Amino acid sequence: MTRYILNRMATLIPVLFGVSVIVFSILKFVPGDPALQVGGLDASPEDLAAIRQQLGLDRPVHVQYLYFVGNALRGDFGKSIRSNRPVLEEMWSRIPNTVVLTAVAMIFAILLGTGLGILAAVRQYSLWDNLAMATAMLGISVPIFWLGLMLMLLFAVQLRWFPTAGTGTALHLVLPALTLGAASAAIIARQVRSAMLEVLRQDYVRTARAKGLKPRKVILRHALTNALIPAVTIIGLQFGYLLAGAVVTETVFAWPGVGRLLVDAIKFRDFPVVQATILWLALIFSTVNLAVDVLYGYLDPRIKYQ
Amino acid sequence: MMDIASPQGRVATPNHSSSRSARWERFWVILRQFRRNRGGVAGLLIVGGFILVAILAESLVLHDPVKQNLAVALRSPGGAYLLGTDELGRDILSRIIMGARVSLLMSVAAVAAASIVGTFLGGVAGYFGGRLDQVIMRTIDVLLALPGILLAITIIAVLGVGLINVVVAIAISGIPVFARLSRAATLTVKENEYIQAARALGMPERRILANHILPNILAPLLVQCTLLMATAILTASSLSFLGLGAQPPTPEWGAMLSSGRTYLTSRPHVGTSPGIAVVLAVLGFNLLGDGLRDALDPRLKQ
Repeated sequence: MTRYILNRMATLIPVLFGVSVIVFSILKFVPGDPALQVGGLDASPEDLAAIRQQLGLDRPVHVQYLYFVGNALRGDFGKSIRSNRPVLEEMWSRIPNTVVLTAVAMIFAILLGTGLGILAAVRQYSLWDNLAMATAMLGISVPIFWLGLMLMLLFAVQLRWFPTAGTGTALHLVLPALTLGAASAAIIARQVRSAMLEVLRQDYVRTARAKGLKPRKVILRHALTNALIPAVTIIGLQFGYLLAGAVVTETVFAWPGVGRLLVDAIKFRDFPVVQATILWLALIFSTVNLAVDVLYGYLDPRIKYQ
Repeated sequence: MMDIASPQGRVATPNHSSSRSARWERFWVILRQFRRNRGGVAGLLIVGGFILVAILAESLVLHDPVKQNLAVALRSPGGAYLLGTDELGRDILSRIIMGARVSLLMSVAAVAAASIVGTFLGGVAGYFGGRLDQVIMRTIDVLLALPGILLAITIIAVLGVGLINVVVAIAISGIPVFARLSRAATLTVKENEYIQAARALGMPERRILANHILPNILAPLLVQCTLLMATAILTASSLSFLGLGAQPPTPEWGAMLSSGRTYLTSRPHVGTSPGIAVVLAVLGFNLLGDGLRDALDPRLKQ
């Protein structure tokens, strides 16, 4: 097990190397002189030369890359072109917002998704099943930005139950989390349904029923625990998709998180911020995937690691 | 249920050995399977309608989708403007119709590129194995390190904002699915005796890949293409909504929502209908993809 985890961690290295190359190349592909970006249009040639030297732009590309990685490992991504504050500081202040939003959306998605999935499987082909699966189909087909705007229109503008945008109270969190979690809830519901159907057909479930256990106990204790094992992978993957979706959700609801920081940074060509946020998101996503893989083996002792 | 349900009807058999009539037979079986799936048929109808609207867009629009007319800005639905007008007085229905073409072109281009490149890379990796396999699949792993739309956003960050770059970004983010699919299938197929026979007979690798391996993975590829169309439409409209994709005045569904957003509270019609168009198109491809999968691979049917 320990060996598996170590091996699995080792696969992270080439992946993160690749991502760092892509992120590094963002600056290289930018048309125009990066020194000009930093120094401004009225910088003198001497100033530009000084900036180039300071940024290491006068060195060969591979040396520049090594410097970039070295600085990144120390958490130094330079200063934001837009705000002139250190990038890490800028990102650090927003990370909690994104984490809270993603976590709440995840909890909502798991609860709703598992509930709908169980309901649909236990009453296969019933009205409830059809309704749950139609909802799930709609859930994976609705664009986040539109769902967000429609929820905002209905619950914030018309009914005034929740604030339209921004942060502050727990109420601010409701609409963004619902918006973000909807697609994941739908995917989890579909997965749980098919896993439950598979398990419910098995002999041990029939035995459990035959010996007179309460249906609720058979479904929740005997069937669900096994059905959730394949669902864990899907649920784990959802975390990544929620992080990605947060980029859109945060823009819709003016939620000051990392995703919105990234989109704004791309628009303002604030490349140090773009680099840092993308690296952070890739690191988080890869780590969570690793954790899910390990958890999967822990939950299902039948799985042997090589 | 016949041969499609049996193992040798799928990945394992050489396709060229089945005669023409057997192939028709299989086609009818699949068609019957598909017709029984109500969701799949609904999806096919929606997708058909969507494609038709995209092709006939010019003859369907009643107003110029790009020309501004501030005198009729933000009209409510009804009268000459069935779905109302936007903040610059452009007919929303006409823009949605033209938007169908933009969406379809973008997603077809992206899916075509992703499926061709991905299938090729996966096939080559699986067939030749060794170091080449390692290099290709590790590169694919890098692409998978950024989930969903984030990879597309990263590529936009490198290439810059714009419609063509969105297509490239979506294409690249679609490559991993196809590469993995075709690599796995190739690994299964290549161990078969008829492949070894073809190799022993001196058939060039290129032809083995194209004639014996590709036909055996067409069914899952088709399903994947259909499902990726749905994702592509979603991603393209989301990127345009974020301001990273189609730029004004291009009538793109996501961009329409983005510009109409300011007026959403007072004039909800500006944002409602373009969103419904996205939902319908995506729903159509998702339903069709699910239906195709059930019909082509009965073992996956629940």
